Amino acid sequence: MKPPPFAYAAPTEVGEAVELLAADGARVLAGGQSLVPLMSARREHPAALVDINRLSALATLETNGDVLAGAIVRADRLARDPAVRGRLAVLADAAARVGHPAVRNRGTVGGNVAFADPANNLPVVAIALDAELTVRSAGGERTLAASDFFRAAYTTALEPGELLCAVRFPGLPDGAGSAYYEVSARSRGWGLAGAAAALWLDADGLIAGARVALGGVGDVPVRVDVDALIGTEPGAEAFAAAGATARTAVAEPRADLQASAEHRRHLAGVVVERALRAAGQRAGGRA
Amino acid sequence: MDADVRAIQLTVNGRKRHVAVEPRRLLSDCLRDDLGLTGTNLGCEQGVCGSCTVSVDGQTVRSCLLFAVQADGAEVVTVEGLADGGEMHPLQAAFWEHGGLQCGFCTPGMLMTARELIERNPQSDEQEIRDALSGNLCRCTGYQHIVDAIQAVGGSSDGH
Repeated sequence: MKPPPFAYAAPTEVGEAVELLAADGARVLAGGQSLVPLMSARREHPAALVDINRLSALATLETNGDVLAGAIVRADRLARDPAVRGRLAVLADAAARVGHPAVRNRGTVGGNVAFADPANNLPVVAIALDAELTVRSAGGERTLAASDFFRAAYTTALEPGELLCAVRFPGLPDGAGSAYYEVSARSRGWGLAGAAAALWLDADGLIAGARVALGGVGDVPVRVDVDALIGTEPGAEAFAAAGATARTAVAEPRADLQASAEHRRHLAGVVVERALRAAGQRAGGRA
Repeated sequence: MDADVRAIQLTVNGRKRHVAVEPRRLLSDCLRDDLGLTGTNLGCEQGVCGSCTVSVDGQTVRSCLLFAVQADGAEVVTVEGLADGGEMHPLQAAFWEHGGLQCGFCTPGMLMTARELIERNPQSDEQEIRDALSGNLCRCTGYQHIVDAIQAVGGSSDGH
């Protein structure tokens, strides 16, 4: 099938874009990798598309300390930028796992976060790192915490007419290691479960702090409580214990054609354990 | 009902082309039906199979997920733009040599993806090649000869 008709504009200024978005039935067109298939299947019928791909102000990527990504920064750029990999390997990993090369060339940070598909990778990193999201509308600008942003599957705190403009992923302590680990049914298919992990060590090589978030298992990404890791050796035993905790992080895992609830519950433990293992290997400047 | 028709200009395989399209006109349909370039194939029209892969402003895209109006002013390369006059692109020659196609439906998309891979990484190993091809589905070949063909052109010397 082909997409239904829509009004189309491709503004070059953010102010113009949010004015256009204020209209009833107007939707943002970013990378299009999620929205256009839905329109072709006639499951979405936006009256108007506001194409944000020409908003150069939203294409900036800053990597001094935090990683501040404008909404139309492409997944490919995040995946391959050496400064992103150096500062927040978990973010580079997650971006590199978005679909396939052609999808990453168009798919955007803003789109991945705002579309809020439970299987999307970047929301998991946003939750793990307590990211901040800058949102603009015709009425002004506001900043949202990632923890307040993801409400349900495909549902965020964005109000009609609001445009996600940037995501700030806070940096980690010096020497921290971080990683994203995902399981999918076929190579680079839809993620069944994914985990973002970060940890850092004290002077004795014990875990001083850790952050873990789990995605794909529930309708929204969730933090996994890994406080029990603090003060322990970064090794197989600790990470297996964290994996066990992760299995109970989502009360009712999602069940669909791809995986049963039981399978996702099992995978929750697997991805958390493996993400922590990879983060641990990278911590302290090793590997 | 008056359709909203836009005049756009794109450079396709080095030639400036002018078309008038509705905003909802997909780039894939524009290339095939408005410009007669039927080398780009439509397998799923959901962005999953990769048969529609072309290059826009130097990057591969799924042309079924891009509206033609979004490519206004862009440089587009399709499979028809790979050969140089009568001479096949090295990738095309390698696919021929190694039997990297049977029905040929996925082949244009495979070639466009392989071309970008080799540009970015002229020494890919087998895993990197398979990883890059993950978004191009083939129902005929089982992929091995496609991988062989790409390795012959842009593989690392000790990859197997």
